[in-house]
Amino acid sequence: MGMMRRLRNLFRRGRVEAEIDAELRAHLEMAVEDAVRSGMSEEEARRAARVRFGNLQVMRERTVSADAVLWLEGLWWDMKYALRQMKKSPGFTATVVLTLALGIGATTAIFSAMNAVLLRGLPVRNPQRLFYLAHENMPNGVGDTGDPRYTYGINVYRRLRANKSVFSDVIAYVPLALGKTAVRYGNTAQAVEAVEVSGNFFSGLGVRMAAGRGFTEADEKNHTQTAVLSYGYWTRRFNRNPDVVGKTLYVNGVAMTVIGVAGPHFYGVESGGVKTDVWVPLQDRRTLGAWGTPATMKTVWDPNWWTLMLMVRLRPGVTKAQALAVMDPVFKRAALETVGKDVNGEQPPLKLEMIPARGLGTATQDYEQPLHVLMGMVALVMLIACVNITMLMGARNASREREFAMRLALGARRWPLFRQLLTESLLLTGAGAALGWGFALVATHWLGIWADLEVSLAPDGRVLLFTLGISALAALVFGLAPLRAAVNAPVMQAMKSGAGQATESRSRVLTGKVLVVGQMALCVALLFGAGLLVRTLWNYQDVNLGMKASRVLAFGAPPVGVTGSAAKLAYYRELTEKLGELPGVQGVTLAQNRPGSGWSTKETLELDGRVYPSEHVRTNEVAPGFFHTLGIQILQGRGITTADTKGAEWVAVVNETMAKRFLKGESPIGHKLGYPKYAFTIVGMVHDSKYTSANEKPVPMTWYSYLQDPSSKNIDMDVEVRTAEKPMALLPEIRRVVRGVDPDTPLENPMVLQAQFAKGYSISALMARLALFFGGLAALLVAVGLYGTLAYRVNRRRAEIGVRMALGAGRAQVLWMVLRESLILAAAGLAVGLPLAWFGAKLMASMLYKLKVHDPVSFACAACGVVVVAVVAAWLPARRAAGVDPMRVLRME
Amino acid sequence: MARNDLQGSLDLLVLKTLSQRGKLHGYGIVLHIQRASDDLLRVEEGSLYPALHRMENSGWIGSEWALTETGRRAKYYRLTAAGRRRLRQAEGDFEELVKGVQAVMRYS
Repeated sequence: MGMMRRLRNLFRRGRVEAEIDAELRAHLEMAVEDAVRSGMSEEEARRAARVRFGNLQVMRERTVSADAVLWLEGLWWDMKYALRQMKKSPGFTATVVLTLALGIGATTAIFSAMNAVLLRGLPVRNPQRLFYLAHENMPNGVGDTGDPRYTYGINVYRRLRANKSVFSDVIAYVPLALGKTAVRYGNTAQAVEAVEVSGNFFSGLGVRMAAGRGFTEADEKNHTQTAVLSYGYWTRRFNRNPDVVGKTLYVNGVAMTVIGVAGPHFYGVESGGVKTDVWVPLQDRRTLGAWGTPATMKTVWDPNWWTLMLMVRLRPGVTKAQALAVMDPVFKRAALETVGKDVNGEQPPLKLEMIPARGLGTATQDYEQPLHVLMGMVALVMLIACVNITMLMGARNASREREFAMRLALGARRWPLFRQLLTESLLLTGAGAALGWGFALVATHWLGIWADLEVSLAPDGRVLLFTLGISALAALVFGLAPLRAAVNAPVMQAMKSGAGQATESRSRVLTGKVLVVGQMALCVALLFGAGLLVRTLWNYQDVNLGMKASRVLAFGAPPVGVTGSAAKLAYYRELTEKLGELPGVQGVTLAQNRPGSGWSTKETLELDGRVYPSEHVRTNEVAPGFFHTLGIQILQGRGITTADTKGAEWVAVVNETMAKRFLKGESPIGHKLGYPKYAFTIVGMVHDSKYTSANEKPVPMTWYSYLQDPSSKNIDMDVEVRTAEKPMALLPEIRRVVRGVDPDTPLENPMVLQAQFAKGYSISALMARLALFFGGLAALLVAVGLYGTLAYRVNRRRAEIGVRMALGAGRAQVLWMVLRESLILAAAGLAVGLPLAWFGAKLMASMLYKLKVHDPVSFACAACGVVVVAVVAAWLPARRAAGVDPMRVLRME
Repeated sequence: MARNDLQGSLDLLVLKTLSQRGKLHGYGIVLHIQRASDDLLRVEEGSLYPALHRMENSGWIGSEWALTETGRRAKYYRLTAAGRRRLRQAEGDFEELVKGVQAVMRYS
């Protein structure tokens, strides 16, 4: 009995085991019955049977695994066979694996970038329910920070927040500076990304805290002097020391107690993947204004100065459409509530929108089209790569076709044959995918650097799934394609023909040619696209900025702990004087907005007492010597000088466009700008220069003297230094000077002005580089495919070539014969590819600069590229054909 | 050359038994081989059951549960069409093996 129980216990697991258990038990029982019948005692019979059975556990396991072993053994043999095949043709294996790796690597890298930039949710609780609020138009009578689509006034924030029906949280945030904010800990000041936020910032977003706590409503209400650090900043600055909670930081000189550290993956919600270092609750002090602009006398708390950016969390069960239906009227009412009655004229239509908090947040739209175009391009490259591999595999399997046909004719089943081919293709694709994944890791690293993004573009789980998906698909296709050929192989024909010359059927040659032409066509489209993007980049680089931007170094040096306009003016005077004394410096000046940075100010035009309500002029406040330092040519009158101080006549300098557009080209000197009582006299006119970006259209512009600022602003100025030699070489000296004037001041964003402008078209530059790379890759792949096809054809036609040569054909004629075939294929590819490029290019229209979609130069370049590919690919096979020895070939036949 | 190993011999014995006796359970197969060979061959249960399951998975034999004469439930095996083909091949292989071995033994 004990034995039966043991048996039962042994065989408790699984249905198969249970069945085997029953089977063996029946066997034992029958054996015992027989033994008893022949006169043995039952006990003796059981012992005998048990001895015969031996180790039951081992027996059961062997029985159970009979199935698995068989299957695994088959797989093992298939693998060994496939590996042997791969070792037998290392060239083929290397080509296939490398081609696949390039294709999969490129596709994975771009998809990974797309995932990070467009798709990935924030690393918080239920990120799919988080949205950024956006709106069309601003109410008249409301000022903004230059990003009107995403900013709101305090009144709107409070009204939206009060209505709890559809949003469980309304979260507000705004950076403390346009650039970085000075944060001092101990004796060292650093420029960091600091943002002031509402009390529900961490709780509403659902951020896990790594240490301490997040903010509360009380922190917002009382504007407490507290701060939360990001995990990255905590790591970088404090080496993850938990004791930092409770310590004091000085943010723009204001003491803030660190109360917590956010979780490891959370880097904030700022647009464009900018990583936040420090958060503080919404503040009401002058020194901690939104965007670092206390000088305007306006703060976050002014309802008609819209600075706050808002995020909302949708209540469970509420859809986006429902939420908008409820909140849009609330928004409209709140927006107009605080606008004064004196604002006349009709208000523009307002409309609230919700943008999913994904990828790079509100910057997502800048990258959407470029990434889609890139994704399309890599898809084409991948397609070309796959066609190449299919052709390669086809060519190789052609020589094995006889083997397959024979095996099928002898009654082999199709399944094992299929399994074997699938194993081979799985091994090849697996190796290619693994290598491609490695490529993608490297590529995304560099992509992030080139695209100047702080967030990581590295692949995650979603990307891995994508890569595995396309690899599996590729493996299946490559595995199935030769099987189809093998199954359809004409058995008799395959058996009859000699071993060395597998049949070259008409249809196969035709299929090969069609595939090559298709590749050529895709290649033409890719090269054309690359041409367009490269020429767009050149157009950007060729833009006349109207200044000598390559010789000017710009940097911010906001004084820390210097308050009051007189002290600030003194600071900047001392700084400019000391910088001017440096050897190699040809000029020093200051500007409120750095040219090329995208930041600008504008005002409604008032000229000679007349108001132009629908016309804006862009303005900048600058220090003396601005035009000389930047190399902007003065056409009439003079620039801003040291004499233009508060007591003197208020002056302005305008650009050509201003004079042309509003003064009919007559000299602007002596005309008056602005409100008559405080009018500025125009004293000079300068050559047009670019302000916000390289691709901006000429705009009317005015420069004022920062020394005459009527509202006695005390703004932080950007410093511009003109140098005789390479500007960046002077940076260490400049740092020394700045430290000498104010040791607490960090140097912000030091950059050559040319590079600052280039940042504005960095996406175009990146696109051009990548498109060129993909175009080149496509050309290379097509060349390889074409080479393979031609080499194969020449090999097959050796006899024919031998006969031709024996009959008097010269080497040149044979060369031309092969070359012609290649050129015909290229011509066919062009015929198909040019219309493809023609229509495809329309998708890229908005990405081009100073270029027509159907740019003839790009067309010509694409055509030339394909012809070059055709000639290069044909060269070796043609030479081999010309080298055929007719006597040897004929003897062999 | 065909597989002429011991496993092949066991397969042959089982397949042949089933072709002679129709439906049979594992214990019955052991008994039949023992009797038919005049006690010269005794199949080890430890080899028989894994072999039966392997052959079942290869589609050579089928199985079903049925009652024995003594009213016990047992798993019965029978030959499939594929098994019959396999048997013919195995018989051929075996004959070759015997011939080969004999030839070697007689060689002088």
